[in-house]
Amino acid sequence: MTKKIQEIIIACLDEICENYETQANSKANLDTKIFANDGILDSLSLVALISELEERLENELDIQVTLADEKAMSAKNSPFKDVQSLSLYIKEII
Amino acid sequence: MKIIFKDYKLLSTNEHKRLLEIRNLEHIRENSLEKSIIGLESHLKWLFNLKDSLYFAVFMDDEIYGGFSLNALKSNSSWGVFFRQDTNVLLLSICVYKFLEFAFSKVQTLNSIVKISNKNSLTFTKNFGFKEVEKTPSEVKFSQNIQEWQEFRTKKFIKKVDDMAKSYEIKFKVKND
Repeated sequence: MTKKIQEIIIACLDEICENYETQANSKANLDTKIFANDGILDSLSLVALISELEERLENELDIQVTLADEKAMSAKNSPFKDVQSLSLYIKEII
Repeated sequence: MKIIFKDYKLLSTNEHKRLLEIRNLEHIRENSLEKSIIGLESHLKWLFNLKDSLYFAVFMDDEIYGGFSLNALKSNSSWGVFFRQDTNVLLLSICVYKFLEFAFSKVQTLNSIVKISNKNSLTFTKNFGFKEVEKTPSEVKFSQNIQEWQEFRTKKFIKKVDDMAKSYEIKFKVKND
């Protein structure tokens, strides 16, 4: 399950980087920093990623999650740091 | 949670002080066109003479997190924004979206000038539908008109921001001159 979630996150990140202005220089991978320190997304493209992720998780894994959670967005240990932390977070909340 | 956009002209002295503490933070001054520290006296004098512009402090549950400007309402309008670094990113996107919605209810075209060194703001401005119209070695000028904004608002991720905004009580408090 974790691997599949990671694949979906990476696919969504690549799609966001193709369609939005980001700081990405290459394709996403497990170590890609998503947001905050050295992250490739700004706060608006992060919303776009969340929107895309929620949709794909539902379509491909039949998982309904709300990632745009206020606590997650303000948490010091934000799950949106990188691909691995985000996949762990999704696995925790499903 | 309540999000209040409060006209600078309605702020108490203490609120002005709190606002200036944020405006004078190093990371904000670095990315501002006016880099110097602004004192309370000169700030209040500037505000007293302010015409044809609207400035808002953003309160979230009674705490100030940043500010917005809408300059030159009559022609060649521009906007600006600053926020504390600890602002929830979700709320930041909601605030910018609601401010732009408000701004386009007042003006037909909005411009903004962003320093080239401010990479996050450059991508953020473009992702909010603004197009680059001029560039110097140090700054980029962006612009968006109301038709472009209406089209931009139909995008899926902006609808997501709009949906998220519905779970907050958001108000603009404007001083009637």
